[in-house]
Amino acid sequence: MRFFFEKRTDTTPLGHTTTIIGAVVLALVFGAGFLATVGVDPLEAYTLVVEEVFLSSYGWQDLLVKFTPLLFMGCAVALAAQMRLWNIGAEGQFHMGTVFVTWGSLHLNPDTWGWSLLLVMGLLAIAGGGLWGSIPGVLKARFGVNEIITSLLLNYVAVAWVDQHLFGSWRDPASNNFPITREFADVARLPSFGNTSVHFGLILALVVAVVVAWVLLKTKLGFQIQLTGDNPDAAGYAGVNGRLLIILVFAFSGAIAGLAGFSEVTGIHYRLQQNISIGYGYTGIIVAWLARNHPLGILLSALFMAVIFVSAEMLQIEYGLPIAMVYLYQGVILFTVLGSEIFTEYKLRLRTA
Amino acid sequence: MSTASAPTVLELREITKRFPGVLANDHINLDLREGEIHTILGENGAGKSTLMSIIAGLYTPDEGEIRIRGQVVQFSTPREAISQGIGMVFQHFMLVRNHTVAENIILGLPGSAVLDLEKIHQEIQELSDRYDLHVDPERNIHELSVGEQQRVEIVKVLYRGARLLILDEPTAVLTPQESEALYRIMRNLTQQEHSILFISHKMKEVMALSDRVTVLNQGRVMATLQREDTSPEQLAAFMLGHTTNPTTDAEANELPCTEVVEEEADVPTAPEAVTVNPTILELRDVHAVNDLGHPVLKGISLELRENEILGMAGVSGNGQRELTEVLAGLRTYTSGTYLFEQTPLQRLNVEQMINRGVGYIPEDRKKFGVAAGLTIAQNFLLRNFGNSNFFWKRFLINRGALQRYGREKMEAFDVRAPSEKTRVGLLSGGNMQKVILARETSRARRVLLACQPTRGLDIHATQFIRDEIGRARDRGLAVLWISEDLDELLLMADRIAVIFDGHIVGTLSRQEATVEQIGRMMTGMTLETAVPA
Repeated sequence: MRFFFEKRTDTTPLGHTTTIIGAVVLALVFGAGFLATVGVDPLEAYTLVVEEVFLSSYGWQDLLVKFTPLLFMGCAVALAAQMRLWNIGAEGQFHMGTVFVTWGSLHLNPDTWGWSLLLVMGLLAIAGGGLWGSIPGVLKARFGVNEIITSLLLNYVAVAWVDQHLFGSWRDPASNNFPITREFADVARLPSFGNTSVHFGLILALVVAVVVAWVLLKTKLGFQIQLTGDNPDAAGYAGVNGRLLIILVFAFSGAIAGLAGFSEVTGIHYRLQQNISIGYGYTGIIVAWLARNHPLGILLSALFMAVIFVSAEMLQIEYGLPIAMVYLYQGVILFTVLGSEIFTEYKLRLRTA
Repeated sequence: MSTASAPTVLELREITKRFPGVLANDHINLDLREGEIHTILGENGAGKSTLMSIIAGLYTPDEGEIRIRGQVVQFSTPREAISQGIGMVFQHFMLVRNHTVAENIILGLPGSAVLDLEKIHQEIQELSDRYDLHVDPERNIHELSVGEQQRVEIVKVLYRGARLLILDEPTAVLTPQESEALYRIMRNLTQQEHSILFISHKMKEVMALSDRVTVLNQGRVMATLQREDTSPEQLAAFMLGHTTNPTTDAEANELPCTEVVEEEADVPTAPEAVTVNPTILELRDVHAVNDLGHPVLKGISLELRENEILGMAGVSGNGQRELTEVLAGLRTYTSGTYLFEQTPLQRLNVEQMINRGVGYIPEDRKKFGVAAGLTIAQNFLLRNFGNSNFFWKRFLINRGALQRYGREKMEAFDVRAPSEKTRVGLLSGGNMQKVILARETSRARRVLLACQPTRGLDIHATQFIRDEIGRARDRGLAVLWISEDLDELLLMADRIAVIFDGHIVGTLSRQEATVEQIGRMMTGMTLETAVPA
């Protein structure tokens, strides 16, 4: 008697969803184990999470605030992943977006530009993220350089560039030497909803998600992306300009990540400072993966990852747990989801012989 | 030289193998005698490969038993099968190109840490001499022809002590002359008490070589027959699953088997060419390099004419693939002239050629022809990106029109699938090829490039595709038909060009071409030297 895997003849979206849910439950069980080892009653902690995150207005606000950048990032990664390109550089593209946005706020006079300043800053973010994203795209298309390596390494460059500005000419003289810029003018801030911390960036992110879905599912460009993702050789045979498409998709992906940077600085911080992204770019990879790069599934997976962020933040405050808890959960979830992959393609059978 | 009284070396009893949704082998009984060539015949998907893989230890059967010289054995790895004297020569060679013959042969064998190459060379030489294999142990694989590489594979299994050889469509990649040499080797092996399980589609060699023939259909044994007691017509009937014995001529003629097809009246044949048709596409002294940058087309000149099929014979790897890629705009040429309707083309790209009305059925249909993860309907969008096509509303997909189109084409081309939303990857090879054919013949206005369009397909699909390409020619298209099946070219082509080592060795009209002459030209002999004395 022994177990063996049998290939499934039918892989259904329902089966995929069940598998994902199973993987998440498994991750929560693992997480409970970790909580127990640091002396926290997991049941009590999870109950607290449900109360504080889902049953309180503050929890919901916080959830939507975290959901916004994760939705952007998930879309950015998934768009490239539809073509089997790995954009590990969303984090860097986000930072380049923030640098370009901040340049706009520091150098363009809000009195002359008025409300159009915000629009210009948004375009600057698109340009910054898009240019930064197209670097790995060009390198891959022109020289065949592995985009995973280049996009990842460019993250460190982008973060260092933000630091260079913050510790250099952009530092606010009135900041007591803190590495932060001046606050943005009022017209350079995204409006919030009522008295909440939820800002207009949420709408922007939802629009981006819908646009990405529309492009992928309805347009010729989207079809060519899917075709190249499915079979690059057939795409070449079919007359798709593969090189151009790689550059284009990387630029778009970077632009979306740049918009996330715009949404964060103009919607929450109103200035450039360090650690505006708490690893959203990397979490975006998980968001996209959980959704199987499906543009609408990303809505769910981004919300789920937001829950993890907010819950961990709460546990941090309540029990004095370190931020490492978030990364631990992320790691465990990625691990269980990747591990569960096999069950969407195969079923486990018992052989008796 | 009857082997009827020879001892049985291999016995399969009630072998059954299931894959999800498929019963690949259904209670198969088979025995192989010493010194026998036993042919396994069947259409694609009949279960031959699965059965051979079970014998070679690649698969374990779900039910049934294997006996070797009376002993029940169970293999869970190919190594165990080899230790029982069973060796398989695969259709695709498993050789390391930059290593020598001897190094390839000993690869994976247990041995001492220090190699005694001298001794190994000697052993290989002895084996080679004994069976007349002409293999030089010290040469590098990349220097060898396809036929020589195949003989290395045979030495490889013999060196491992194989007494029972499985040859999986060994002549599919060989020239007629190389095939003849292989037949001699096979007879040589069986005379020295080896046994051979021989897989082939080619009726002529099956009838010439086999002691017995077992026909499979849909995973079941239809019959095992002595060669003397059967006929190609009967074997073809069994292959198609007819259990009744079609002995009357009338019935035999109705069988859509390749051997009989030539007599069929409704095959579109070449119109009697009185005048020379206008040239649509012409190459003059075209050179090109392959993916590694090595010259592969070395001065190709040819003409594709309206309403005409130019057949191209040649052993694969002599530049056929690169030639079609140049013609289709996928590959740039380094020198020469490419004239399309009198216009010289310099910078080639795929889109331009599509717009000029070139259809292209690629050699590797899974790798290039389709996107397996997309639906049948979506696959009709490939090579149809022009805005003028009605599937597109500017840059948006017109889903309704596309699905209607998909349904129509599936109907017209007899694509068997649940719906136009079925993923192409789930289709059989024949149905996949019909999707490609439907797409390419529907849009091509001037030229159709067909690379090995029927390779690996069963008789029904082959017939359908031949008819359809014939009809495309009758609509006025200039067709280039590349094939390794000379009978097919003689049946379908108006003219036949032979390619060897990046050159066109010669072009013959169908009337003057014979299999023997083309076969000789495929080895590089020119038209003059290839004329039989």
